[in-house]
Amino acid sequence: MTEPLEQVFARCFDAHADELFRFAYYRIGAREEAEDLVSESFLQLWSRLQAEPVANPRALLYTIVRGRIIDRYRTRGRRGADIPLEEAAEPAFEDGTALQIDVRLDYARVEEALRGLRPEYAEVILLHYVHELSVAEVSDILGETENNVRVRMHRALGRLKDTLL
Amino acid sequence: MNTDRQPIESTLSHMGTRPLRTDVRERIRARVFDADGHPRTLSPIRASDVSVRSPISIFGNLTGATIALFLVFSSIGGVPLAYLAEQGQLAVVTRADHRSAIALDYLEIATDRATRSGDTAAYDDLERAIVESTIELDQLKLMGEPGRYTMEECRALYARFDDQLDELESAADAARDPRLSGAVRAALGELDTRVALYGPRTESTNE
Repeated sequence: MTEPLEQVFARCFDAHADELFRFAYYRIGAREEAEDLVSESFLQLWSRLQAEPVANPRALLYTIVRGRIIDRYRTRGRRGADIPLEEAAEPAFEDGTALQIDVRLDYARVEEALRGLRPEYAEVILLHYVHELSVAEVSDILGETENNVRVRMHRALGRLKDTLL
Repeated sequence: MNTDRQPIESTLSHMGTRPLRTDVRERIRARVFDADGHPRTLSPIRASDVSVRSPISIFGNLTGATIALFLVFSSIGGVPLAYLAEQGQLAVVTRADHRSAIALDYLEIATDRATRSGDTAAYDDLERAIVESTIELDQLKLMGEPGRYTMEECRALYARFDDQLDELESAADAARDPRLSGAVRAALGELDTRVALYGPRTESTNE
């Protein structure tokens, strides 16, 4: 029996909301905007699911969020500074005291280094190494060949290591 | 940075499993699902972002563009009829190359209108047309799409947009309009970034 569409969507939300938020947050660094992006992307997925079957909802979600991030960068120049200081300082993750301080510092430095990379490099690092999407999925999301994605991943990781070491 | 203690790949992988704060997750959930747990519906404005699957012929696009030209200086409640016509076309066209061409056609109309009338509403419309063109051109695949458009045709659309932006940049500088200059420069920056990807692509193709 076919699973009701709402159940498919709810399962999708439970499975991917967290990782999608991480992707958006690491790219833009603003918690509230990342929340907006993710919720809008799920609503768009729901609309799409009602219209037609979606073979890979996860990849589609990343594609939508990525598009929204690009839109955001596009309009940022017109809106001036985009991250209020108090928001930038507010954590979005439950790291709390459970994690060792040096690990938290690692995350903070990697996040900072990622934001310093060219956007196309930061993007492949996040998609492949952080969110563990396959090269084929990254290729679908970016609309590029797998070969190009592999080359870019290699270069991006090299740049990230150069920055951090 | 403890790069000696754990390789960077491992740190990156761990970042992907960081638990989200409960309140963050719940806020997102509340925006996606209603109180009964049913998915909410996209607002009508956002619904326009979802591509509609009705195919339309080139002839239809050209006809629409021609009508838009006739309507360029007319408006309803401050919204140019040409803009409404353009939105009507975009609502039924799914191909990225056609959508880009429609957006660029409208950018020309908006440019013409702004430079002739010079009023605030016309500049607002022009700014909107620049952003919309950037969005549509961003959907193009740099290497083309089989059976639809080639890499050269994609380049031609970028070149057309670049020419239009160059022209606008001069006009904005001449008019000393900082807001328009900002919008044009932001679009040029995006375009440069996008076009710069041809370089790495070509390199990787040759490898």
